[in-house]
Order: sequence, then C-alpha cells, then structure tokens
Amino acid sequence: MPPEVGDPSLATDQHSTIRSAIDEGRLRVPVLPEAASQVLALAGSPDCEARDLVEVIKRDQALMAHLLKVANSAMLAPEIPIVSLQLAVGRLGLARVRDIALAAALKAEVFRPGRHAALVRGYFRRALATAFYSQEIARQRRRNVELAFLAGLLRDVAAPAICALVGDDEPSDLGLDVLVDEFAPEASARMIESWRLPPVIAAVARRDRGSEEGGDQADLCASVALAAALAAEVLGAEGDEMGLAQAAVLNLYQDDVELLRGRGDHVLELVETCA
Amino acid sequence: MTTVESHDVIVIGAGPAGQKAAIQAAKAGRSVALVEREARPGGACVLRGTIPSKTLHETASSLLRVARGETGLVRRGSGLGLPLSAMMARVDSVIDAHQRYMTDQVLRNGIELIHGRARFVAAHRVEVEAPAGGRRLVEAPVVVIATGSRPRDPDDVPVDHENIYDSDSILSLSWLPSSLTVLGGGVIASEYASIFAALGVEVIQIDRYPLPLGFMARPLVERFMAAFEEHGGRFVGPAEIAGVSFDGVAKVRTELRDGRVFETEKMLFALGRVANLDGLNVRAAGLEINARGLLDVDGNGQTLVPGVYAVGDVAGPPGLAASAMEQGRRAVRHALGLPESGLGELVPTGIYAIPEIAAVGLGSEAAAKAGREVVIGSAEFRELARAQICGNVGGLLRLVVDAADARILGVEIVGEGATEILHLGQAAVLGGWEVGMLVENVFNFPTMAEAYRVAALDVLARLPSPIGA
Repeated sequence: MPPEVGDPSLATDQHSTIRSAIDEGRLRVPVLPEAASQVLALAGSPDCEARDLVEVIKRDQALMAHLLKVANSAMLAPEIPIVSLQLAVGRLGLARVRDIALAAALKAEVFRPGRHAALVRGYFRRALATAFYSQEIARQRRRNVELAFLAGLLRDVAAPAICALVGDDEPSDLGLDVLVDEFAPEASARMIESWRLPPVIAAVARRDRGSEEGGDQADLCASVALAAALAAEVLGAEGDEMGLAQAAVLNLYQDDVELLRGRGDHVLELVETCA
Repeated sequence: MTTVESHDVIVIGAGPAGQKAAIQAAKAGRSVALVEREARPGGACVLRGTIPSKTLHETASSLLRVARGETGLVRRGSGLGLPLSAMMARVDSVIDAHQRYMTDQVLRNGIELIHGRARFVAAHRVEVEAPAGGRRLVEAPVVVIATGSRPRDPDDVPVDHENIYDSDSILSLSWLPSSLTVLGGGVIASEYASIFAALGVEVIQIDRYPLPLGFMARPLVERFMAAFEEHGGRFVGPAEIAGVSFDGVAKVRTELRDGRVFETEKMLFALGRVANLDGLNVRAAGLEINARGLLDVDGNGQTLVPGVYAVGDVAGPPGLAASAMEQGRRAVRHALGLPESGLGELVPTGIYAIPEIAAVGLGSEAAAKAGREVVIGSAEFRELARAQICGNVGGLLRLVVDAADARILGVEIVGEGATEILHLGQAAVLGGWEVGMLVENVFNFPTMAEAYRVAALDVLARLPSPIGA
C-alpha cells in the first residue's frame, strides 16, 4: 500500500534527501540565462546605460516580448502602443526595465514550473512581492532601493530546486512548504554565491545578520524579512509574525507599517504585471 | 487608569541638543527622562548626517592627499567605479561605537532613556508611544523639545531616492555617479558637492545666490570655489529653477528659468530642512508652529509657555551640531536657575567641505558692517612647512584684531584641518588675547598652528603705532 500524503515518515525521508543534496552540492543550481547574467552584471555596474540594456534584452526574444507586454499592460496604460524596446525603456525607466528583465529571466529558468508547479508559481509571486515590498521599505527608510529589490527577489531563490528534489506525489504542499522554509535559506545562499552576486545578497538569503548590530547587513536582512511578511499578507498567505516583528528592529512604528500596508495594492499590481 | 511617571526634566529627542540638555540636567542632580524615537541616541547627526558624511569626507580627503603626493598611485577621480560602500567601510562601526558611547554616557548619568515617539497631551505632560505600540505618560515641570529636522520634501522636485536623492538618502547610492547636480548653496549642499567633486564626479551645484555659503567671509568662499573648480566642479548661480524631472531612462534634467538645461546621472536635492514637529502635537502644550515651521524661542531657548524649551533645529538656524549642543545646555541651565559663564556664547562654525571652512568670533565682514575698526592679518598655508609636507597648500587663515587694543576678535580659516586648527583661535578670542601673544609664544615646528604666528606678524605689521611698534 502506498504511503499516505503527508505521512511523517515520508517527510523524514524527504528531509534527508534534501539535506544530503545540499551538503553534497547536488542541488540543481540553474545556470542563469545569458540575458539574466548580463542584466545582473549591468545591475552591478556603475556604467550601465540604456543602450547596453537594450542590446542585452534584444538577444533574448522571449524576454523582449515579455518586456513589451509589461510596458503595454493595463497598469502602465500607455497612450500609444509601445512597439520597440527603446520606447519601453523610455516608458518604464532604466531601473524598472532592469528589474523586470531580471524577474522575467528568473521566471524562465529558475522558477520554471516542473514538479509542484502550482507551488513554484506561488513562490515566484512571493519572490516578486517580497522584492517590490523591499523597494518600498528601502524608499521609506532612505536605503538602497536596487539592492533591496535584488535581495528580496532572490531571498528564497532555491525553493523551486528544493521542490524538484521531492517526488510529485509527496509530501503535501503544506509539508513541502515546511521543507522549503527549513532548507531554502542555506540552499539559496549557496546558489547566490555560485552566481557571484554581492555577498550581502547571499547573507540575506541565509538570514545572517552579521556581527554589526544595526549595520547594513543586519538592516537589509530585517527589511527583507519584513517585506516577505507584508508580501505574504498581500498575497493572502499565512501570517508571518516573526517577519512582522522586524518592524520593531527597523524602528518602524505602527503607522509606518500601516503606510507600507497601504502600498499593498500597488505591490500586487506590480506582481500581476510581472508574473 | 494610566500611571503618570514624574521627572524633573523631560527631553524629547536624543540628538546633539537633547543629549546635552539631558546630561546638563542630570549633572545638576535632577531626574531626567530622555525620549528618543530611534533605538539608540544620536539623532540624524549620527545616523544620516554628520558622522556618515564626515566618513566620506575623510575618504575623499585621503584620496586627494595621495593624488597630491604625485605618487602615481591614484589619479584625480579615481573614486569613480568604486562602490560607495567601500569608501564608507568603517561607517557602521563608527556609528555603532559612537552610539554605544552616548548610550553609556546617558545611562551613567542616571538618565532614563525611553525609546518611543513623544506627543504632548498638555504643556508639561507627554505621551510616549513605543514602536510596538505600548504607551506611557511622563510629566515634568521642564520640557525640552529637541526633535531636530529632516530634509524638506519638495512638491516640485520628484525626490525618488533612486535618481533624485535628498541628504538622508544620498549615501545609499551603490556607485559614485558619473555626474551629479546638487541643488542648494548651503552647508549640506556645499559639503556634498565638494566631496563628490573631489572623488571625481562631475558636479554641477545650482543655487539662487551668486556664491554658495553666503554667510561665510568672501575670501574663504573664493578659496572654496577655487578648490571646487580645480576638482572639476561647477557652480551655477544666481539661478532660478524652472523644473526638475527624470527622463525615464538615465538622466535627471534640470531646467533653469533663463532657458539653460543641465542633465546629470543623479541629483542631490539639498534645499532646506524642516523641523520634526509633526506628530508632536505642540498645540496641546499651548505652542504654535510659526510661518517658518519652527518654534519661537528667546535667547535661552524658552518658548512662550513657561518651562517649555525648544533647542537645535526646531528653533531655527544655524543648524550646526555644536550650536545645538550649546543651546540644549543653556536651556536647561536657564530652566533650573543655574548661573551662566557666558563662555558658551562663542560657538564656532565648521563646514566639512573640501576644503574645510571654519570661523569663530567676530567675522571680518561683520566687523566692517558694524563700523568697527579692525585689522586683518593673513597667513597663506603655502608659507608653512607643515602644509608643504602635507600638500595642504591652498588654505588661508585670517585673524580679525581690534585696531584699538590689538585684541583678537575672530578667526576665519579655509583649508584642510580648518575645523581643528580653529580651536586655538577660539581660546584666543575667549581669553581676550592680544595678538602679540601668538608671536611671543613658541609653537612646535612644523605645525599648522604656525599659521597663527604668521597671521599675527602680518597684523602687527599693519597695526598703527604705538601698538604695532
């Protein structure tokens, strides 16, 4: 007789499978699509110019199509249709195009639905919402907006890879979610390190606040944790009390948090546009 | 029923002004509650202003010193391409150390540090809301408002903290931009404009006046301008802004009323600050916010309501940490009926631009306006051996001396180290020294303090006989 869904012994098996895959470096680390790598490289470059980004995106037809779709979306509602990448960059702005291109490239490769497709799609929406909320928090607190987006987007980037290790029928989504919660921090950090992104992005994924109380790393960790909690709220997921408690760490008062909650519809619109 | 906690003094805000007010009250043996909305004391000065910007100032100055040394290691503008965080690598630990020191000092003096936001419910009663939402009531016969200020959020300039920054967010930049427009000609604008220019950023500073830092003596400002331009900076003024916009791609566009247009990668909006009075409910204390968004006070910082004081940025200019500290101290001494020595009236001005500018006492221009007969003696830094060794040759020190009795009335300095060198001059003004004392005393050699001796000799040569004989 096959074991029942959610069987504790199965969860234990999956736990061991994932643990050993991470420890032995067998977790599938997606090779970032060339466009994503180049967009990331440009994002980390002081010399990024519109024409460089346009050149990168032009080489990836799927990415270009996605960007044009976003630029013409109801949310941005252009008065005249945007038919070229140059116009899209002009319409959306360099920074926004960079964010969308990165999100689209990650969706295509890293968050590609395979096993547990519905769950993976949910993780992608959560990553987007966390990224956009991280930006909102950064703006409110006068912190670096670009870094906040990247840290939010990639915080649990290994979630799909963890799902891929688990059989289609086991465990339940709830059980899988628990496994992802447990293993995503370490696995995501290793993935980010393998992509040679700024160390602070990996530290945020690892939930490593560093030794400096109130330092930049600790601040970004707390900001992204709060963003993830607010993202969960706006996506109708289970409440994240620990994440919300980061508001106090960031010295945000109740009305500051309410202001952020008030941006929920905007964040959701951005998620719908990019997802 | 909520319990009301009673103290002798409540200080709202633990920046430079509030901290000094609280410590003064505690030193006088009073029980003090110090309310601070941030997790630790320090205020904007520590977290977003003085300490972070001075850290960047130090990095830029060091790079310049190496470049000046013509070692071939660093070329002008070598800061470009480096992450800003690398230039401020120590800032977190500096802030942490400073906040720890201040917290220790506050606690050592028996001050109760309350983390939360204050709101008046009556003239001498304040409700404090903790970040997590709890509330408590505190009352005292003396209340000092020292909540500081923040950058003005203008209606006509779209500050987004990604392309157009204010002075709180400018240091969140990932990289040094290739070009930067700085709007404003005051202290903050001029400090950042000169620092970024020294780091190799193409800086355009725009202001409505013909020169920046109009409150400082003209010769000092001219030296500042010469250095700024030498580093590639450009000052545009007098100019009226017609509009500012981000082009949606990569440039911030500034249009002037005369038709000129400037495009740079980023912008720093540094035109004014506003007092942090919203949310404080000062009306419940019987106070009104005036047309300038400040609280009206007398020379001791007392508002129209007895026992309620306002110090630092909430009471208006000059917006310098040193002045704010003195205002805090003085307000509490007045409130507690403690005698004043008067020494604190001589507050120095320090501008951490590149080069630094500092002044104390009677300025040369103020003396002229007052019709006071003075003699000005100058010392060029290039005449000093120490300045030659350090490559710090562009500076100037000016002594303002009473023509009648040869007493030193004021000192004005421009050049690296000006904010430190000034204090010998401050002692001279406070002590009522005759200028001859600077000549008769032996100074270490080589030092920058020699500038005082050189300037004193210049004064003596200009003084009418018999004083100068």
